[in-house]
Amino acid sequence: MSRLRLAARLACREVRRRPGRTALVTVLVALPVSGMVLALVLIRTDRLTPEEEWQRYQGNADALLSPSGPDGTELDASGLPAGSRVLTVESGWTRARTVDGNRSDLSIRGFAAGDPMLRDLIELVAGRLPTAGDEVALAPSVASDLGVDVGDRLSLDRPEIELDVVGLVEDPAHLGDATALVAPGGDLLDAGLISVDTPYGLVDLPDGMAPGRELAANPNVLLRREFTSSPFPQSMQVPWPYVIGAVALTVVGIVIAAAFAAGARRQLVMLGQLSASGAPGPVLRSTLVLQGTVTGLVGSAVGLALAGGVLAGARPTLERLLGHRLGAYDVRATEIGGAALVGVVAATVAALVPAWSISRIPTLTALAGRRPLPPVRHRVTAAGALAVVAGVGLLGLAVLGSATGEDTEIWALVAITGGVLELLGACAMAPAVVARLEPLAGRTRGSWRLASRSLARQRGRTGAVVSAVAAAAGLAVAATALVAGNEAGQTGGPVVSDNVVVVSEIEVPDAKVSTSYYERPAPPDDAVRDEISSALPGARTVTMRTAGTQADWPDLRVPVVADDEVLDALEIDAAVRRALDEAGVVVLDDGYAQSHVTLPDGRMEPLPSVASDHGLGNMWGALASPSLVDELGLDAPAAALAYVVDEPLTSGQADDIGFLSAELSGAPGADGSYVDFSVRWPESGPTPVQVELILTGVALLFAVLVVGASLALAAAESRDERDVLTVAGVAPRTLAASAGAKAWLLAGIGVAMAVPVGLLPVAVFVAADDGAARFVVPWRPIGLLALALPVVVAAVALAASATAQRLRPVRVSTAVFE
Amino acid sequence: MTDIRVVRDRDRSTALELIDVVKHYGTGATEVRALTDVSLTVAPGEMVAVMGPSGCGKSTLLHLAGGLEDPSAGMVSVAGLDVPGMSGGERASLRRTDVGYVFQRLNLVVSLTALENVMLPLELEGVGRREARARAGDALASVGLVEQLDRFPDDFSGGQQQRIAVARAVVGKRRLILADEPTGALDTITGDQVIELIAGLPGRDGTAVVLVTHEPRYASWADRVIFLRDGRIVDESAPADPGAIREPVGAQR
Repeated sequence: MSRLRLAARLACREVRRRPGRTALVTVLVALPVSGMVLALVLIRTDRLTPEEEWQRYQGNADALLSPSGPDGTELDASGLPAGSRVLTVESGWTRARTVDGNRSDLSIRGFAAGDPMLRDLIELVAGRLPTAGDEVALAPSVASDLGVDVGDRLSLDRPEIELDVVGLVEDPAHLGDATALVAPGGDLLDAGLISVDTPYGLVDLPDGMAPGRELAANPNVLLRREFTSSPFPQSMQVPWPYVIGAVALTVVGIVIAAAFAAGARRQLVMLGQLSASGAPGPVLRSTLVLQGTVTGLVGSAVGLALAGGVLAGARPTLERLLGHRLGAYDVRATEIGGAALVGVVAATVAALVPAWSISRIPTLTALAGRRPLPPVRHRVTAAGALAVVAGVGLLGLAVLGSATGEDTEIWALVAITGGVLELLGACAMAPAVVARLEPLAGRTRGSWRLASRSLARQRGRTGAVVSAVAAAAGLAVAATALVAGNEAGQTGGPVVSDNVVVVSEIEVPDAKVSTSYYERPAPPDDAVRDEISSALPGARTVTMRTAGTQADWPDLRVPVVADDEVLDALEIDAAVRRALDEAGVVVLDDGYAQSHVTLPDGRMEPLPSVASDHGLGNMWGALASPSLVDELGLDAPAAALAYVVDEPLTSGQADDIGFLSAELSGAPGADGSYVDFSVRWPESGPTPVQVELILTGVALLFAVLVVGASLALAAAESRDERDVLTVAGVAPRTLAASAGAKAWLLAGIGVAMAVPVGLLPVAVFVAADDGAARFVVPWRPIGLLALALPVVVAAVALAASATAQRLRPVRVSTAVFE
Repeated sequence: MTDIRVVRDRDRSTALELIDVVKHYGTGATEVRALTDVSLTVAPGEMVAVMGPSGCGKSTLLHLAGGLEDPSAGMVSVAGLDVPGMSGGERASLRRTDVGYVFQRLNLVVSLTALENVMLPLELEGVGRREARARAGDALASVGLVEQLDRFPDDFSGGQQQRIAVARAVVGKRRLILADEPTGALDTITGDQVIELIAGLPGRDGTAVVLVTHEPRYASWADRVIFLRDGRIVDESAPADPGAIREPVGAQR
């Protein structure tokens, strides 16, 4: 016991004596732990009981009454017990535009929000609730977008209506929604909305009546306030925060191991002294391992405090992110303790490996502060390769297993094991990769020789840093590959260019849309043209014709005639044009399954499918050359108008077209037709390129942190070497360049390893998953990582080294000459 | 973990015994002979000084005596215990209980206080904290340190640090003190004080001392002086003028 106490005392003192390393490890442990805790608490808090879910969406109502009757819109309260109250809830959606040109979505809800039964469904932020038909209460964001406040008159020209803004409200179940609350039967609901939902009723039974007993036999009652299970699906499972947290901690664990390896080497003399004083091996190991434990405890404590601070201080932000109000936080001591324990274990395990190797160094060698250079163990390298293969296999197994929807916790554990195994395997292989720098050192000069020789000789620690960079960059590669794969897996072919709107009016005989969708398209009528022209002033129009009708093409959607004017207007790629010249018919989708087409004259011809950046619109995916159309003797009826503007559509133009589209492309109008709009809508979230840049940026920051920390530790460790080099006449800029070269090599090798580390699991995922995702190599982020990461990291290291040399002048240590 | 001490016909009449000890490093063309056929016996309460030029094998001799290295051939025993035959744990136990080391520098664990440094071997041996504190305090008092014992080594002067090292080497009634140039990093006056302290141990506790030194003045404090050259004992004698420099240099000025 006294030995353990001694080891603990030494560990605590060392942790205090090395504030830089302690701070680094603390941050590295604290961030994943706080992330895990936040995720666990929020997921738990968000997993409502059926009762809480009912309260959130149906308030104090006892039941939900669905509409019935011949047209399915009437609420039949006749079967309800005497004394029951039924309140109607109406809703709809539209795009609103004020007479001043301000725009906003409106998610309109009409119900008696002041009634005790429904009062939990809306929060009054300012003003009062609407009571009259021409009153409205808006979400603050909507009021801001429309440029009105409480007490203002809201004048809309789309839909055309005037309303008094009497209050500001929020829907606690949908905080991000563009809520517009009106009184039951409010004017706005009848103002010509783009979509109107079928109203439903909420029922309040007389006191003492149990919904289950009273309403069980009523066919109009859809839901009752009595559940044995949740009526709503749970989309998130609790174990996944552990999966992500464990993989993140493995990555940081590799960095921590590198930090401890450097720190342990600096403690060699102390360990030698302990050994010379009679300390057995277990005490030496405990001294080092407990440093990991102590630092892990500090890191976990900081992580818990951080998570607690975020939960307490950023509640409104969290609610906004989740989109609804949160109840009391559901904090489970076992789960929080588990997250903290994972942090402590990660730091302890990270300290274990260097502790084991350092404690085996002979006492005299340790007293001299020397660490023998271990050879690369081929067994370790082979075991690493095996671990990578096993890890990837387990990831695939987890994908297959989780697809069954059963035993999600087990598959989560399998995924954890797989991810961790792959990373550790890569880590075990890294020293062998780094050792290949040794021959390079013999063939290079100056700072590159110093750098490559130093890295190769310190391959134990260098390997850990390379692994950490590979893990971070590998995660970025994997994530971008998944994004690109999902993007490529999207069906439907390319969409039109961002400066083009293709409009076609479709007649619907007998209102059977599905059978005639492609058969009778025509350019829009004059009324619609006027509307479009006002939305896109100055746009030129190009008529698009089809090669005959759908009846002429038995196994292909009717092609568009590839007039030069059409090709130019739609910015069709040169590759498509070349294929068109060769084959006469071409499909604009490189994933198109069909290889041959039956022409209208019955001939079977090859059908090339070519990738294209721009498409032909919603209704068409193929082009036929004018010469083929002539050869086949087909009519070429006008089918659509392409509106072309010089610049990409502005948000206002897209908004107006969207409104027209929503207004005209729904159910067929009275004249039996509707209008189809093909538009490349502005992206609402980050584009794939932005996602790639974000992920690459995160990997870059992490790599700078890891490599920077490693080089700082290494520099502290090799001060004497630096001083000797200075005495030998090596210029300061050569030393700085050497630091930069080291960083460049570390990052370069890390990125090289990141490509297989990131792509292998994705390949397995795509192969195992039966979804639409494809395996796509994300060349752009890989290229960016390969070019930018080594350069940025090297620049940072070079600058840091130059600064450090100015801050700490050379001091020739006697230790060098011992 | 229990350390098992192997006692084989323990001869307590010798504190240290080396018989025909050979130590070489490397093999073939790169072989370096550090010690060749060295035989030496140190009795309890005896102080032996080892002198010789750099690289003659002085420190190697001490490392073999403390079980920090194994001889290539020959026998090394401490208080009758066969050192090369011991396991790592047994050697660690030997250094906790029988053999104390004092080096030229790097003696003290910088993250332990002066008192804790001296308590170190006792705590490793499993002695209770209170008793360890008391015994360590006594040891420090015996080398003249009674104040500021909860300070860390960096807060003490070089001479004081060596005193603490001596206290740690003797705490627990050691049979053998191995001092490897303990004054090498000290000024003359402080060095004299440290040597006086070490030289007093045999008479006070019956502890044997092997002192490696370059300084004939310090060697004159020993009962015997051994001269090593190229790994062999080339001369062994009593000091020519024992106690000639017992008057510290500083006092002579």
